[in-house]
Amino acid sequence: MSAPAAVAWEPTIGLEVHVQLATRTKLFCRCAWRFGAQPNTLVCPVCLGHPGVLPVLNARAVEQGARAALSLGMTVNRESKFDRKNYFYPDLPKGYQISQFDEPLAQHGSIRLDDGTHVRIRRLHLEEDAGKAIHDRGDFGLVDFNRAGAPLAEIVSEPDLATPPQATEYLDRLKQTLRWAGVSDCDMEKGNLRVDINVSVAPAGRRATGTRCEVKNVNSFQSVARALEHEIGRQIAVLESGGTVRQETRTWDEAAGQTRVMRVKEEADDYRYFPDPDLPRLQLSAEWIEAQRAALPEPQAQRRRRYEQALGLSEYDARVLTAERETSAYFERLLAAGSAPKEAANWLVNDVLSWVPPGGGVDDQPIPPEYLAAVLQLRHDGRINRNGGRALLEARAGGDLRSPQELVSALGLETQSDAGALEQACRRAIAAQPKAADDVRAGKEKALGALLGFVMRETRGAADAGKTRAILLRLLQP
Amino acid sequence: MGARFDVRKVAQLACLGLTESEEERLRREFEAILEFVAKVQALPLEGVPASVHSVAPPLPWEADEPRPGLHTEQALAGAPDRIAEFFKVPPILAHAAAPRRPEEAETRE
Amino acid sequence: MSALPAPNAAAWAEAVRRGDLDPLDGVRAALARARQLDPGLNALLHLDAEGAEDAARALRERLRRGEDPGPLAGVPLVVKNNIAVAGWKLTCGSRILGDFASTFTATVVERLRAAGAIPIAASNLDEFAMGASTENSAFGPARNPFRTDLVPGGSSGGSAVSVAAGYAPFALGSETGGSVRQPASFCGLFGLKPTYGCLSRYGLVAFASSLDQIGVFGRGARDLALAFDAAAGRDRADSTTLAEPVEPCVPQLGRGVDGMRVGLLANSFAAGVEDTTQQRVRAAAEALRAAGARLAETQFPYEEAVVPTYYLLNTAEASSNLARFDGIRYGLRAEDARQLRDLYLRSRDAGFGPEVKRRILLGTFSLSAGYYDQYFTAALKARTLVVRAYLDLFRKFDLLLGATTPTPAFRLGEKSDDPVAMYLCDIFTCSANLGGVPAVNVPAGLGADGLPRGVQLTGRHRGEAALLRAAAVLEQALGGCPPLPQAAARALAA
Repeated sequence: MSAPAAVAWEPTIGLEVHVQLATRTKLFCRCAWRFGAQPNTLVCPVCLGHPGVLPVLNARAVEQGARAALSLGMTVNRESKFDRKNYFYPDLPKGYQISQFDEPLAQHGSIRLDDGTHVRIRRLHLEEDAGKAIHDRGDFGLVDFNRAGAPLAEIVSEPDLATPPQATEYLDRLKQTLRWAGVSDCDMEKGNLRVDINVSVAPAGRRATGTRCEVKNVNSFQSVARALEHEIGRQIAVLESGGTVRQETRTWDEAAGQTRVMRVKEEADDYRYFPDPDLPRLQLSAEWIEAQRAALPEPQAQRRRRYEQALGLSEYDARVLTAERETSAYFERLLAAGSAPKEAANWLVNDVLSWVPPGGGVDDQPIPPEYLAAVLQLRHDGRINRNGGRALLEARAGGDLRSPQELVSALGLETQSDAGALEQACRRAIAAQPKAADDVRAGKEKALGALLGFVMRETRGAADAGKTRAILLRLLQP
Repeated sequence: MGARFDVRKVAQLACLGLTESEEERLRREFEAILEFVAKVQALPLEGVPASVHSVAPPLPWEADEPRPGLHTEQALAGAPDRIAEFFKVPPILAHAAAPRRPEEAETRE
Repeated sequence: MSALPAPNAAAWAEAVRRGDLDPLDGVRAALARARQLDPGLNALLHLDAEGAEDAARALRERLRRGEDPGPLAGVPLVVKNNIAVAGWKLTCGSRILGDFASTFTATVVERLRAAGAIPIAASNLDEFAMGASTENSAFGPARNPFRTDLVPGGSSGGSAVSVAAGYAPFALGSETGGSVRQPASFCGLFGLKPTYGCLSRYGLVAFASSLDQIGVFGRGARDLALAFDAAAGRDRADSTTLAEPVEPCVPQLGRGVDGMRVGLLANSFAAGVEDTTQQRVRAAAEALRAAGARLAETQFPYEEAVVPTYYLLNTAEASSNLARFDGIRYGLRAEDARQLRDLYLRSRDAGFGPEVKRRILLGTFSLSAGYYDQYFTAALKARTLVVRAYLDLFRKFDLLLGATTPTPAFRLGEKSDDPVAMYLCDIFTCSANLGGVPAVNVPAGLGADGLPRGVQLTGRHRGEAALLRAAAVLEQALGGCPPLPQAAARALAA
């Protein structure tokens, strides 16, 4: 049986990403917010929607939103406004969500993928998060408002993605960029980053796009790829069997590994957006916007290049040092303290980072940058050798809070630069190893190693290798 | 002005339960009310900008400094029903009439 | 009948400041009068005798220590029950709030307290301030002290009655389209609606946020000026308060109106405005002319469309502002709801009265897909026309003079079945809310029917000082607040 010529299908994918912005307080009240607090402990009359309260905008949230936008190459609008999105849900205290409808904070950005695809970002707007309604308990539901009012940036891409791997790469880039800019932790497990997918399929080569479905409840990058694979397959199956795809909202069922219909278009809510009369228009000066741009760190890729090219670091070290904003900031502090770049990179990558606990960052290990900088200075001054440096780091990691300078004398780590004592040790080495001494005299410098090793053992590692070498060579001059 | 006021549909959108007789009365009243408010459309509105406020200052903002909120017991003091430190609500049935929100994501803890 | 120790807030504060009136005696007199008269008037929803007496004792201590007790020292204050006072039940005249008590105090109340005022009671109102008669209260209508078969006006009817019947010399109300000026007119009082953004709305339960403004009832222009000066100014908790400092009114109060240009609104002389009211407006115009003002007749445009604009805007905002009353976090919850949707529908059906439902429905409709531009956007544009109309008028005039209401107080039940007729009560008042400008009702004596009449002055944006100067001139000329007729007073006390 000959199958009909298979039609090639082309998916069109757009992503809407909600990112919780890193601030201390909520978007419209000064309640602290954080993940994992006891229920209903981070609430006030404003975020509980009590009668008589009014929203007051968080300056930091606007900064973080603008910096997120600028780091994605977007234009921050000099004027934007807040609107009310009206719907009823138990985790929505006021019966409306304050969001930005037709005049968002920023628009027109992009992310370039490895294959050269240019994914345009349509808009970024600020909105308040909802609380948490837990209603899988059967005959009742529970509501916690700790998260209600937390600041969100919603970042909407154009439908410029064609494959699930592109979608994951886009998300990965987005996450890297936002983390690098310090605007969000982007921790999906904590709900810092949430993804809604828009996807349609159409015959390849035609410019028309098919009917779009929205998939919600996708909670990890792997799930995004899986949900997309499934949904694309489902739509193709519908089309190949001669059916039509209905415009609908679907939900991703992680356990079942499939998308399920949540509601069809006809049932779509009428959110009755209108400008929030409690919040006049947001006006940002050009100077303010430029100040946000100036506050952004050097872009990740640019900094990596600079580490390699200007500082002469290895590709590996440059990559490790720019993987996370915190690591790079640590390294920058070493440079600011005057540490030599290659030496600093070496110690940071090989020693300090080995103390980072699993899942943690550079700030979770015990050696502060000032301490490492002091150790590097002692090395530079020749007062300690490499083993001495390690001993200082271990002391700090073990909880000894004394300064490196104090510890050098307390632990007897000072290299023996006392020429007399060192020369005595060298003479003893020559006496003890006449064969090696003769070889050196005969010009075999490799034999110097045995003599050096003897001196090191004699001085329990405290001898300065360079000086020892110079003395031995002088004593063994033919 | 071609407006069709479907009392039942609008009431559903507004989450207002209405009795049959209320619905009937409102249907009658809204004929007069809509005729009344339609007078706005007779104004010379061509090219006139919309004003959300008469006069309003640019939106002020506040530093990101936490202030104490309510204790959990104060927050829950008015709750018609609660369990431990949570507000308690009846179950949400997943049929067409159930209220919906865009992020149905938070159904799982 | 026990009389109050002072005829108005200004005199009361003076007596306390001079040491002639003990604050505790004053508060007790006010409480006694309220307890005696309110059963017949239903102006109050609750009294806070304990809190008021404690505040009076604290003030006494301040006086004893020689501290400045403030410009409103010891003056009892009645607060409309849609304005939050920590620990007081906040009913908004509705069943839906149940026993909800506020955890915080409105900024305006805090500021008046800091100026020495003592809140003594929460007053009755149309549910969520929606109404013009105080008949829409879930706790029964308030009654006009001049004739108890008449309405006191609304929605701040309870506050108006409290001041007219002498429970307290001043009171707070709220304005969205005339809810202070209209009851002030019906009860023979001074009533101020300040410039939008001059008084903080923090703690005022929102009805229509872009129009709402707390207002003051008093027994003289000075009472309004004292309260306004104490309460006005930027509040970080209300992002719509104006950033510029507010010009104090009290120091300018005696400067008269010599040279002021006053526009006499011909709208007040149209059919439908009763003769006595028209005469009083003309009398007020003559009084201002006699005091040196230059009068010229003018017209407020778009009269037909002002009330419809106002209704489209207030209902749209109200439909959203009242969505928070859902029976989840506080307030009334319908019993036995099996599922969430049912809980919403039944709680809101049981909790809201007919007028509130009507407005939520109209507002939901005008914001809904397909009707938004036709209704809501059209109303936002119409507001621009009103704002421009005021700008035009205030290029030619410093003040506008006209009627506050087309008729005096009407009978209870008279307009209950005709929402549109009730809405038209706001015809002369709601334009000031749309335009954001300040306006004041000045009492203009009693008519032959024994009922108070009032005239309205409107000022330019932030023009409270000029407005209250003119109100002070009219107070002299027209005799100020009319006293309750002997017969009415006797009937009340019986």
